[in-house]
Amino acid sequence: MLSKTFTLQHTNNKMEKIQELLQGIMPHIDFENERNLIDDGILDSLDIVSIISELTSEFDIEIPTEEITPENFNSLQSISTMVDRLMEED
Amino acid sequence: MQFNTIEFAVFFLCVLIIFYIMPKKFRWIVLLIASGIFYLLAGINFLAYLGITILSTFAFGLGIDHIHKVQKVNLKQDGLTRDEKKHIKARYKRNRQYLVALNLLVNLGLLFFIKYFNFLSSNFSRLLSFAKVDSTPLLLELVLPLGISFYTFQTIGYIVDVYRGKYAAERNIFKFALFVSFFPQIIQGPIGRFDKLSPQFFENNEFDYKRICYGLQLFLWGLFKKLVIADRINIAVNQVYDNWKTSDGVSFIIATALYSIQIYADFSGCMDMAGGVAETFGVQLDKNFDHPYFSKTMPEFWRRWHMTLGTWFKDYLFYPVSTSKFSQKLNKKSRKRFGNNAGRLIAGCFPIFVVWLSTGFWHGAELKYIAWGLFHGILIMSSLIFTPVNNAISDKLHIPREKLPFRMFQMIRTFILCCIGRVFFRSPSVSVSFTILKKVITDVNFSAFMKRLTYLNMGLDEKDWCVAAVSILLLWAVSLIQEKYKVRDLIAKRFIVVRWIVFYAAVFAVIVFGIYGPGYDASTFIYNQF
Repeated sequence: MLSKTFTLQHTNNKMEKIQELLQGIMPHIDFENERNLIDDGILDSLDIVSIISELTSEFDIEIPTEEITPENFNSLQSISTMVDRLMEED
Repeated sequence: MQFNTIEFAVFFLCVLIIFYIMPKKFRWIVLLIASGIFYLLAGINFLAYLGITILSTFAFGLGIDHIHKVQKVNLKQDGLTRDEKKHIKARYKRNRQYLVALNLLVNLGLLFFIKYFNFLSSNFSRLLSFAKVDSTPLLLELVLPLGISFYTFQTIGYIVDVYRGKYAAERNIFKFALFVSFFPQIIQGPIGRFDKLSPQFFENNEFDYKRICYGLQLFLWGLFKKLVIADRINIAVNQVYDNWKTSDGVSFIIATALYSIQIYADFSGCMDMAGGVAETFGVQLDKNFDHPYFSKTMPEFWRRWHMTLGTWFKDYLFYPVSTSKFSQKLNKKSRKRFGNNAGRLIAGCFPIFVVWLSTGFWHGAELKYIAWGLFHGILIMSSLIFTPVNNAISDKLHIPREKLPFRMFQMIRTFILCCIGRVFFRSPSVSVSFTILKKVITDVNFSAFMKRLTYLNMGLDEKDWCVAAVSILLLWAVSLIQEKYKVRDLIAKRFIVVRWIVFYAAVFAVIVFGIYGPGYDASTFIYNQF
């Protein structure tokens, strides 16, 4: 139970950190509520490159090109899930 | 064998009959043999080039797949530390990279040698002459194999995807050969992806009357676009551009706008024909056009024009370059220095430049294509820079951006920008392009043009102009409907008499109004040369 609570807390912290990073580079986008950042054309390819640049240096991960898919970048949640997975795989 | 020939019609009909006579599990073999024959008819030498690409990509794909498997086994060992795992991954990744590099060397090497050797040789010799070194360029008699730029890119996409672990390599060389050589798409694409295209050859191939009808309708619509619109306009465009020394500015404005329509009708017509033929065999090819002339900005235009080439460059060139260590550093540094928006644009210049230089180069071994590519690169960058500025201005002026008049203005602006690019694409050389652009600015006199009735000198008579105008209007109307509905579904819902009237009208239009060239030689498609 305790470990579950810890994991949840940890994930929330990471998501907040990612949101802070993204909001820092794109303050005009509502990352908390947008669910179709790519499909609705809110983020363009240059934005994605900036996001990758921030995430790689903050979390010391490598985001390979094949991870650049709409599913991974459509929302704050999906970006966070991708970061978690890549950190685990690393 | 062109799609718009009697020979192809006979060939296609034979393949279709044999395909559905054969038991389901052998149907893909019919397609493979048909593709082999189709390609063989283009020339036996060409088959050798295609064979090298198929064999090498197949073998390297298996090699890369094997390394993936060995890596997995090694990572499963007990007691490995994080650093040891990292080391194993890096070692096997390097090995996979070697194989990808070797494969690229073979396939791109072949493409470069055949397509660009003479271009590089003559330009190198020109450079030497600037340095006052006398040299005669070494020019070889090389004939470009049919569809080499398309199938080479398709195989590169495959090998990179296998390297990235997106899917496992194909283990049956004949199935792989069909993926590369499928006859409806080998000449001009669309550039297919293995995971989407290949499975379709082996499933969903039962006889389906509705699907075959839909396929034939799409083929007929493509034929209409090619024979009635593109080939008719082609006469007027050639008349003006072939006589560029004497043609005036107004003729060039008309001819360039017509050329933009021609190239769209030609290429998208060919895609409809390819898609229609493939559909009769139960294969859905990727979409290559999404009414590009309805685009409001240049980036949108390139998301709707030659879509499979655009996504290919995005996946296999733009992202690898822009997420490389060099580009990442540049991105961070420039955002820190110039702010997030300006910084990302400055850092984005390099990958965008690489992509558009390559796009231009892919189209042909001539400086005019490179100039055209770079022109579009500049337009894309300008759009990224000025869109926020334009939005701010229109907000201040209270211009409703979603209303039709503003959207029309944006579409016309995008079309005009495209037309400027087309001047480079259609002209015989870069210097002639600039001469034409100069004429468009300085040699424009509409009243003199009307007095001389120059249109009669553009190779088309009044009847032809009427047919062209009505056909273009029809193309525009169908495109508008296609934005919201599926035209073939709409036709299918009509009463049988109406359906047959539409069908007969289309056949009649193609036969009566189609341009069949001297001696009924079918004219080639513009993108055939690439």
